[in-house]
Amino acid sequence: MEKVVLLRYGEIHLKGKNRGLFDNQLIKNIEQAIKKVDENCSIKKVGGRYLVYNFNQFNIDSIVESCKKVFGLVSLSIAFEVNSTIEEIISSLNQLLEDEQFFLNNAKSFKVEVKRADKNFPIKSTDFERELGGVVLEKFPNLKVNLTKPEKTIFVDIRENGKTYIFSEKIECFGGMPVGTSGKGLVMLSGGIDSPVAAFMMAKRGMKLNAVHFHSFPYTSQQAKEKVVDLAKLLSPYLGKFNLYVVSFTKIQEEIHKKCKPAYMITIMRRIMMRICENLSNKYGFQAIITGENLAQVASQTVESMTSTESVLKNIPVYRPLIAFDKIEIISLSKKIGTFDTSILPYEDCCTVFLPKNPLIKPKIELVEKEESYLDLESLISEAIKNIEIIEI
Amino acid sequence: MIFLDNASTTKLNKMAISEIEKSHDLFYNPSAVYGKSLEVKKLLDEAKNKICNFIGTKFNSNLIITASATEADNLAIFGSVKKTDEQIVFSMGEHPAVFNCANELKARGYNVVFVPLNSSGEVDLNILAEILKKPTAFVSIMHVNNETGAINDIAKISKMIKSAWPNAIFHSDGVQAFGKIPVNVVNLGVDLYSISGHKIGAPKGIGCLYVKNISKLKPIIFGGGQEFGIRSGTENTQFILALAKVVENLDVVKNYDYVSNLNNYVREFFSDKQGVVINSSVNSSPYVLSISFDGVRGETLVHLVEQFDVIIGTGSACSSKKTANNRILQAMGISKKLNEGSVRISFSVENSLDEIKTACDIIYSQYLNLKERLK
Repeated sequence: MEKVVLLRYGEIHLKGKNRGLFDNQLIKNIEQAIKKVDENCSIKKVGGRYLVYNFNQFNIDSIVESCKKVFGLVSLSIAFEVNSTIEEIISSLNQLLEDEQFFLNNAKSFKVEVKRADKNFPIKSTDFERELGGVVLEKFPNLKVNLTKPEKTIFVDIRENGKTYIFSEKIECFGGMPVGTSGKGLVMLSGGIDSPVAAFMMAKRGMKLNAVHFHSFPYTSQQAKEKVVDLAKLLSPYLGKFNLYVVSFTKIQEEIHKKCKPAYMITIMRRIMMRICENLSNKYGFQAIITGENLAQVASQTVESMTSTESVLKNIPVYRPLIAFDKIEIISLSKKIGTFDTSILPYEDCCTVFLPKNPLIKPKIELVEKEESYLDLESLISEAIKNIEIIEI
Repeated sequence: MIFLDNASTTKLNKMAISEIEKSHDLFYNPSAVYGKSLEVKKLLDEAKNKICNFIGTKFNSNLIITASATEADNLAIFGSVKKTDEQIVFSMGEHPAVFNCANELKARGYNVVFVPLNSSGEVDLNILAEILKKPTAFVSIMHVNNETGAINDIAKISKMIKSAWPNAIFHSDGVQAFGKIPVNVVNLGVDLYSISGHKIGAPKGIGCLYVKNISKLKPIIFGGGQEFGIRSGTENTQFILALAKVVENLDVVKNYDYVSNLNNYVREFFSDKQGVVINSSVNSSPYVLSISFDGVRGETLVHLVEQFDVIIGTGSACSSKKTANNRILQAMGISKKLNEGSVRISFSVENSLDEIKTACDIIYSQYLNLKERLK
């Protein structure tokens, strides 16, 4: 009897002729995730599932945790693989009931659900369910059978490969599409709560992401940058390997501060950030810019502000997966993803030194353009891009 | 590298390092029964005795070794305060190690009262006298403030407390005083006094609590009964020996004069510089100097001078969305703008006057540079 991890995928089975592509990417992503935990472990396809096997049993929790973060998977189970004979299945179930606390987990009622993909297996599913139910009841006479609403279901999955998988728990994963199957994007990571959630949402739909962060040393601290690196590392189990482009924004902010009206600071800052993102995208082949913007959260996130910042882009869309979320929903997602506690560390936004008292809520594009005309945009942007630091996450 | 953030921590003293290296063989648990353990126990007792002598007390049972001054503060407060309706008094100037204990007591429903500071950063004694008119169970007032160097007259405060409420317990956090200004716990009249190793060249991970009457203190952690049952946990032999070695070789008065000279240089250097304000009063400890730079953020200046290998401390650190003002400077009545522009320069005998001169030039030129960039 070998302990294995059974992985189930969702949406990709809907992908007619392209399915192979999605399948391969998913396997690649799973492999990348689990090899980090246990380099000896292997993965194979059994029926409509994947199976992780041949790992050190001490690593099982970490393997489960890594797989939970691979998009494309809908659920997983810790299962026990046995040979598909009636005797071995019964004796293994007996042993599991004895050895594995979690298997029934103090449930008061149960049922057994047999699936027989191998039609040559000598007993019909319903008959075998009854027989196995009897095995459980013999061991735990106080347990009640409940076929409609059992507290615990013992699944016995008899596959075509001569193996049977016994498990009693289904752990939910995030679903979505395998990362790498929906184009390449560049996410703007600020260090706050929203942008890591935005990255998560786009990666969940299969987009391969890289990230960009703007920092303003000495107006922001070294810790503020390190915090973004930490957030990027927390995202990497979901996103896979990626680059974090760190852009020094100090000079640009100082120039805006010197040459433009204070109220335009944020609007112009964001427009320049967008231009830098487009520039990076042209260079590295990103097809979309992703932001954590959220309608009406702050002055820079009004319809007018977003229109104004977006209008500088020529050939690339901006995706804002959180646009219609409430803050409370974003926070709850951020906790689920595991980035919340790092996001709220108090290092961000020291650049508030440049924040105007009354930022524009509804910037008029003509007026913004006029203010911008006082800046040597081209040289500011090319200098910023020249000095980019690339951190591999 | 010119390190001027010595109030946060100090470089490990060479004698402390060699003491730690020498004591590698002393790994035996001092509580065990074999001969080697007894040897270690004797050395530990001698070391504790040296620390006791240094702060003016004779008996080892008056000194509880802890893993930090924060732990010593927590032990002093939570080990002394019993369920009571009487006042528990703290100063507004306390370090977070004490201040957050006060907040915790408040949250638990105790009658916690804070004494404000005067414009020099010392506890306002007139207001303290008013507060002490009400029944008081416990008072904690720090000796030297870590942000400004302001020195509280602990002996006088002790007399005020004891004459009003003879049974009240008086604790003082002496972290920035220990090894820097003369400390004699008996003359100070305190019941409890916390000290730290790493502010004076000993390793991090060692603190002590002076306890006048051990029978009045209850443990806050429980275990093998070390430190007279007050602080269980196997003794950190090497670091205790290192701390003893450091204090044994300290010349507090000589060092005080040396550091005063460094401090005076900085005060004089900035005295005629426009936009620069010295927050620390002239009566403060020479080891700590709070300075405000008008029109800039203290933290930005800290980052800028670091690029020139000068390390100074922040007065107030920025946090999410807003600048967190320095609580101590705020309590002294310093304006929000100057509070935002505050930095802390803190000295040690390891600093030379030349270093200080260089640092002053760099700090001032970077201040001017920053002001220009922000124009």
